Amino acid sequence: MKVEAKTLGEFEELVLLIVALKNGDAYGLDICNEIQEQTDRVATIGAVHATVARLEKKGLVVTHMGEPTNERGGRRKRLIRATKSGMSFLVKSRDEKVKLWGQIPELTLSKI
Amino acid sequence: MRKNTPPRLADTLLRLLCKPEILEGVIGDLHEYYQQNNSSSFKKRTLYWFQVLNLLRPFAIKSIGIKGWKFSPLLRINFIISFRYLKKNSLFSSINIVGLSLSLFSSLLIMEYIRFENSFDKFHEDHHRIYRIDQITTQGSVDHSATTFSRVAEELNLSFPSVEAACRVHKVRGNVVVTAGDKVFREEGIIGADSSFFSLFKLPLVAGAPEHTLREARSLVISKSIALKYFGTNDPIGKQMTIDGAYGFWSATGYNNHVTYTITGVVEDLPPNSHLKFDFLISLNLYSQLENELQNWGDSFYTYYKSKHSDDSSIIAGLEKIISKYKPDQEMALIPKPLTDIHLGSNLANEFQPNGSIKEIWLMATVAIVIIIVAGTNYINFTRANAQKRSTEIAVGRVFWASSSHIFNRIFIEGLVINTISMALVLLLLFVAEPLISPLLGHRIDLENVPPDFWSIAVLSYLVGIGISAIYPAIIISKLKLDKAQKVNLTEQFSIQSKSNLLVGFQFTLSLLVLGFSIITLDQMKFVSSKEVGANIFNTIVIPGPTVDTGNDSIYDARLTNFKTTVSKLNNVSNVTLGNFLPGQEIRGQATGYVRKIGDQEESAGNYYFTQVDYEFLSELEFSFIAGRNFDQSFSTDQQAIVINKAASDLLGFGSPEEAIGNKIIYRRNSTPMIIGVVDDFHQQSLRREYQPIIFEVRSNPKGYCYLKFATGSQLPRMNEIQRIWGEVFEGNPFNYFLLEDFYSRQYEPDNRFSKVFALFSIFSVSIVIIGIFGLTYINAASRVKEIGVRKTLGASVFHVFYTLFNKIGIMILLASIIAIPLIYMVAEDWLMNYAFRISIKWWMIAGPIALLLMLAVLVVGVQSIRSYRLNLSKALKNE
Repeated sequence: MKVEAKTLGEFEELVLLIVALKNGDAYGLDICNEIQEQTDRVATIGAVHATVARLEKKGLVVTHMGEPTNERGGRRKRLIRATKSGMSFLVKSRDEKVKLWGQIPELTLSKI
Repeated sequence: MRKNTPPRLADTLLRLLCKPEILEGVIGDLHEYYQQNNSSSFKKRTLYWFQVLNLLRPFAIKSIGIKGWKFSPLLRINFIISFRYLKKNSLFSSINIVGLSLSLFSSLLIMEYIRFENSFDKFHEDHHRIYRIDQITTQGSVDHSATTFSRVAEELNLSFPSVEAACRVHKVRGNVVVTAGDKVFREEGIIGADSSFFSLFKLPLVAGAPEHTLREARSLVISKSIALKYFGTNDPIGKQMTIDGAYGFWSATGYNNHVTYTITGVVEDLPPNSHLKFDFLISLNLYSQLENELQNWGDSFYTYYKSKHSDDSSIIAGLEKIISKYKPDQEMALIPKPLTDIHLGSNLANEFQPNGSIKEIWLMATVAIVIIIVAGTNYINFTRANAQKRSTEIAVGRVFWASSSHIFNRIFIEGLVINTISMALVLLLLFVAEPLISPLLGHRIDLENVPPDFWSIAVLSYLVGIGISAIYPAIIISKLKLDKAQKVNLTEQFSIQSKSNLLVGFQFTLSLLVLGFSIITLDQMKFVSSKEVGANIFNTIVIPGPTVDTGNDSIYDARLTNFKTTVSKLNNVSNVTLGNFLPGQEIRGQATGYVRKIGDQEESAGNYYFTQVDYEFLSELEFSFIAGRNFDQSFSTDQQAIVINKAASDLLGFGSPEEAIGNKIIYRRNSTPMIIGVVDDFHQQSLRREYQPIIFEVRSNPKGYCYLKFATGSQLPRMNEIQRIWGEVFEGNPFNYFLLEDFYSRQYEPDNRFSKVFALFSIFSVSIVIIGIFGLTYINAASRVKEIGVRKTLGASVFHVFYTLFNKIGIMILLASIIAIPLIYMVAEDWLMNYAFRISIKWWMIAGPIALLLMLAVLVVGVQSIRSYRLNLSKALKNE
């Protein structure tokens, strides 16, 4: 069931971005840690998994089980990779924002 | 300590609820998260739980249904209707859930407490064939002791064919210091035992062979935790340990207390439900002439034997023969007591450790039953009353061809849902509040490794709960006939009420009993902690005396004097004094059957405690002299003098304390000391015990305990300064200290725990009763809205309304009180008999609970009456 992605929540977009930057190696806890490092906010494992499930439903990411390794007692990781439509969503979202940023008058910016 | 793995229960929960396709990745993530976390174990686990619960969102939960079998639509609709109904009647649903959870919670805990107390010593293989010999002496005063003399075990081993093995266990009391390599610690839990110990008690050995561990002289078995403490992960077998202050021997240079042992075995730590606990087990095979030596140790041996058959009557006759052989002139008896009866059935002198009490177990069990009954009857009453309200609903169902079983299913599932929610709440509460509950229970519920018994108790209470609160109401309601269901007439309503009343009266009686008893126990505990000891145990720090390398007496004496004078000059220390005993602990010296007035017969000699103190001890601890004087260094004759307490003076047969002064008594061999002073009685041990007859001798420097007195209101002395001095004077001796008052009050710990737990649960049971009153009055008022409206129209005041709602409950409380008063009195009096010093039961202790219950009932009903009274008249009259 593919749902056409029109908009994403802010947190969803953040997760999608991190998935994209990990280039196919992202998995649940890894994303949590990355969020904490990059943005200084705490995300629970549950929140991340729930978001990934939503993104997957919207067709922006795909998941598959990785190879078993020694580090987690032989348990496989559930690896997450951004799809083509996921990437194009990110590009579109960035372009929109950059366009908007460009239009903010210098005057307003200098007030900050 | 807990293992460093995530909580298993949380993982199990995930496995049960999580969709299989995401489970592996999720658990992997969680475990990795757990390993990354560097906080304390408790925080880590809490966070882990949080993560797991946070994960259980709709996306992760698999659809309900057992493999390949989905709920039938009808069953499913029943669940949905149940939830809707519970939500619609949220007041009653929450009352029911709170009541059920409270009762499940408390009965679960009480049953766990009882289970634990009942499980003592049952982990031993062959526990039903192991017995301990108790000794009863009826000479002078009657004395029941858990210990006996050495020859008993010797005879059991030699001349009793039906005895498989017998073993003596000797408990080392007093100061012991253990040295191994560079590790030096003061230790407790040292026992000596015959080499047959491990053939009696088949304890699991971590290292060493059970048949060889105790055979060699100076062999030692230690517990696993002690092995870790001294040797870490190294193999302790064959290593040496030096123990000071346990078993010494005479050598050419005098008495030697410094003995080196070789470790021959390591045993698993004994479980908490063992009456016999030890960390160090020294082989009693210490002397070349063993039996002759042990013969001089008096009645100090716990004697255990394992019989070849579980029921053996030949032993009794044999034990009588032992007495006639070794103690022909004494009136005494030896009685075997089954091992598993010791913890709950034995409260003798010299017990290995304070035991539990079967009476308290019964009282606790009563409370558990009370709480279950009270909550159960509440539920039944509510459903009975609600059945009337639901009659229309049922009638409509009937009209549409609902069969009895359909209606039964509906109501049953409702009960099931309520019970399941309550049980889930209880388990959650248990796991969250475990650190608070464990101290009350007196042992830890190991949540990682919950004993299967605990689960079976939980499942049982769950099933009983369902039985009472789901099946029974379902039967009642599903039997309602169509014509009756449509309209329940008034007469039937009252017949239902009268049945409920009986149950309510029963509830009231039980909760009054529990509450009254609880007030009395709390008052007794208050009395116990506030009663004057008879000596000043406050503002006192005790340092257990040195035991390692004390040298000969004169060197040691000089060192102690040095320590005493240096420390007493420090700030905040008002004086230092020395004594060989501790208030709050059994005195080690016991003189049985020979101390008497000169001229008296030996047969009339009673049992006394004796100990040694220095010249200032009695005055520093403010013992009050009722005759004579304290020891005085300026009289050289005082070295052969004694001070006794009033109980000793009475037991010696003096008419008054003054009469005792100046008399000589027959004391040890060739010693007839003179009594120079009599101190008033004091509570050497807890108020459970009578005043004990005690004889004080004087020594210039007894080395048992150093007592540091400091002034009231001043700061504690600087202990690190004192430790420095200690280290200089007594090199190689560990330094420990404690406040005397803390030590003294520790003996009341089990008692305090019992009364607190009891009070807590009695509050629970009263709360459930009040919930019941509230629910019933609510339904009563609701079903009588029209009646109240009519009364109001005819001019009834709010008090009349209150009266109509309250009169039955009031009468039930009064009737319940009449039954409860003698019950409280009997139960409490029986419990108070455990104490030699006890409060008398006063009227308010019994009237208090009755007044409390009445007051709460008036309050609850009063609020309801005002509510119904203020209802708009036109609405009330239209109500049908």
